[in-house]
Amino acid sequence: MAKPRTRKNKRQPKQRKRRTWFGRLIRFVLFGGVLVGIAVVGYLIYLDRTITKTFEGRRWSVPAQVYAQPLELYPGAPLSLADLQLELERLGYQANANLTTPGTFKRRDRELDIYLRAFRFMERKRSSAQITVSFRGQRLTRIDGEQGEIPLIRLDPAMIGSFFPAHGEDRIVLTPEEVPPLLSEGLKAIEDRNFDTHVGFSPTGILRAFMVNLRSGKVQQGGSTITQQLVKSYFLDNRRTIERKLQEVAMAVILDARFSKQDLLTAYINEIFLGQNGARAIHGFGLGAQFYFNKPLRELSPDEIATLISIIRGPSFYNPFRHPQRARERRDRILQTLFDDGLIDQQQLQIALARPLGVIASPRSGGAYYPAFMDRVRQDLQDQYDLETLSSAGLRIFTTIKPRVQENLQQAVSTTLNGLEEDRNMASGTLQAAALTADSQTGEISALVGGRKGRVDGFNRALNAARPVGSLIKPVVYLAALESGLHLATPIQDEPITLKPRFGQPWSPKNFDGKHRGELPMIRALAESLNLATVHLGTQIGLDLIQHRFAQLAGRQAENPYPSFLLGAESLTPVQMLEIYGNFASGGFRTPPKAVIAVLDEQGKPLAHHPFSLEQTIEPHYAAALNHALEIVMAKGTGRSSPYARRGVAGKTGTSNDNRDSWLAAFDNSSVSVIWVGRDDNDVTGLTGASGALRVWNNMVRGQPVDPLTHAADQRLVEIDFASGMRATASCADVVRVPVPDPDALPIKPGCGLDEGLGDRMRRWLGG
Amino acid sequence: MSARKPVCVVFLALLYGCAAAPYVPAPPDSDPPASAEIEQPEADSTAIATVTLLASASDALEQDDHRSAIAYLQRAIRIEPRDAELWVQLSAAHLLDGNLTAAHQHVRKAIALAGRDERLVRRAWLALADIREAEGNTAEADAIRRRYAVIRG
Repeated sequence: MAKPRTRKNKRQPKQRKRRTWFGRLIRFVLFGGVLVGIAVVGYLIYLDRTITKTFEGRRWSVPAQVYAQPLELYPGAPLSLADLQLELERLGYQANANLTTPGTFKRRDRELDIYLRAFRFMERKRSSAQITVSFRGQRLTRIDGEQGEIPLIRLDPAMIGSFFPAHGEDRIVLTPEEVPPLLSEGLKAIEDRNFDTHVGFSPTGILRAFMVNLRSGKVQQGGSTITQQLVKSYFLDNRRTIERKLQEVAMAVILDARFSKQDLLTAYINEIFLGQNGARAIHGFGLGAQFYFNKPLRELSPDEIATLISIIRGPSFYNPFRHPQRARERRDRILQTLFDDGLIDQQQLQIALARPLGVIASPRSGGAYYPAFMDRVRQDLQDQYDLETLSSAGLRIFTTIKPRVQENLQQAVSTTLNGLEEDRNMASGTLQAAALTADSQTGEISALVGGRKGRVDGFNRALNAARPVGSLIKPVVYLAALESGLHLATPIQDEPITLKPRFGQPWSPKNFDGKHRGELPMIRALAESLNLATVHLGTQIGLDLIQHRFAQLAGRQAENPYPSFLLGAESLTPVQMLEIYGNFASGGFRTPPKAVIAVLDEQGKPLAHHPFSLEQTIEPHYAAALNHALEIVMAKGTGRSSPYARRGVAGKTGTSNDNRDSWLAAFDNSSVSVIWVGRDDNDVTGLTGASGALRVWNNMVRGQPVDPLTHAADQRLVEIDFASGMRATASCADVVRVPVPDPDALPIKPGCGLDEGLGDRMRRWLGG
Repeated sequence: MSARKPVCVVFLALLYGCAAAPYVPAPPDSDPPASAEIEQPEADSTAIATVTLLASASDALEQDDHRSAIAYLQRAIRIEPRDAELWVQLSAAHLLDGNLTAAHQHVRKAIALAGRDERLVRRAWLALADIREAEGNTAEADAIRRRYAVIRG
């Protein structure tokens, strides 16, 4: 029998139902909670792993740093006190009467006291050291250190750039020991007062910022800690959403838990964005100090540190180049805070406030920035290193560039082109130029100018503009002639000639002035750059042989198979031309132009070997004879208008058809240079080699004196009449002195009172 | 290999042995390290710099550090690029490093720069003989040595 339903019984199913529903809800919430918890924990684990890995990885992603050639100081070095002072100033050394810190110097009457910076060179590390350098006129005479005389010592080299990755981030990474305490403490004082105690984020900081912003009605203060700023810079974009903010806080807490405060602060100092320079983003205080002040961070004064700190809040807004007044006002506020916090004393504050901003004149005027040369460094390294390695492995690359030679050449190019345009009523910017200088014996490029604006990264004409070289090719023809048994006094014909190729049109070259001069010696034909004589000579020697020699000297085959090659109807870049003239300048060795001396890994271990590269291409006596001829080209030929032409230099001018390209290649005892002047649109300039490129060279030599060519002691020179090639003396003719294998075989110019040699007598006896 | 190393040191002594003033050692951190045996040739001359670098190169070779030796010698050549002796030394360092191509190129340069200085010419050709021998061309090496009258011990 069924039990009657009581109220209780009636209520039970409802209660049970409610309990079941409640229980389900609890279970659902619990389950949901667990799921969310798992998801959150999973997310946090994921975040932890991701950011820990990324943070650790990116802490060591350092672009390769590229250095110029350090200046060697030694007794006897051709260097004046003014030269060295300029070099020190270029490196950011400061004049300082007390010489208290590395990176300072003091000038005395004939001496410079220098507190050298420490530097890790290729072979070894050099600690900072105080030296005194003495001079006599244009020479360095003595170097003294703390313990006596020093035989040689180097300045630290200028850093000329870095290979930053495609995203543009460039930085110099500092270790905690390299960070001045004022910077660390100053950053905390300005950016994050509770940095040492908070857990990655600061609720009080956020609240304070919120109140300030509420009162002002705009976003005036951020509540981000240094750790949060680091997170933003490393991992997040600039969106301002709740979700992103929560993510930022979570990440900051994880970072704070995972890494020490010092690690985080150092990472911040290396990471923070401090400005933009074209495609290059300036990150970190190490590079910031170089970029804005052209000196290492440890040498910055309190006001300069305050300026860098002031930039963090708005690298564009507080850009000291564009908004100096605004930047200075913020700097002064920061200095006041540093004083209030006891980080600097009253005297330091007063001195710092009184100083101007002190940044370099413009973003690209400080230190060394040579984009055209860097192109060549990149070319030299591209076969051995991939972009990833160059942009992240912390390599140190030592290069061949000499900043004072580079600056001088760039200045010569800019000044000359402005002058040429003015003289010829050309619109400003019509002309362009490229120029290179290399060590004549080693091929090491000391200067490379890719265009008239050296600090602008653009089309690199020195490496990439292939233009007809005109008469610059002629020495190859004359070298082949010398090697074929002719000599500089050998008579050749400067007569009209028409060459009829098997295919194509007959070719009738002309001299520059349209005239022809009949028989004359080889030396005169080369010195006066006579086309007809050169074509006669070239056809006599044979185009094939000449192009074979060209290939050996240039390291590449000629492209023009026709006789017009003899007059330079062959397009080459200035750097290729430099390689050809390097054969002559070095006394007969092909020395391919090179830009890299050594590449070191982060630990200072040499990675690749870049020894001098040379290959003998010309017998020394032929090279000496050709160089002698090229000296005469400068002294008496197409180079004679230069005031420096008779100071012991060899060279050749070149002009392409219709005066489109103006060339000069010249060398002295220690360096070889090639200069091109023309137009980017390949239009007519009206310039010859002598009226264009030679003027650039003149201006270059004005700032970098000639080192006269030396001649082999055994070279026998004979005086010959420049016009006829006969033996003569200065009393009876316009003579030049040339090497001739058998001087007695030369005819004697009548009326010169010279005795006939045996050869002459024999010829006369034989009725010749 | 070790038999050749003393050649560098002996050669240094021969090269700059007629020096006059005593050499003053550089301070510990100056660059590069000083070598007490070297004498200072004459004030106001670049020789003191190249001698110091040669000494450093010689020290590096003693420690089988060929790369550093080459770096020191290249520095010396940047200061005195027409000094045939330096090119001979650089060639010798490349030979020790096993880079026969560079050794050969550099000794050719030394021969070209030696001109008619008989001592230098002889020195450079004998260096070439060492390279020829290392290349396995003993016939040419012997011929060069005979030409320059060297008795092999």
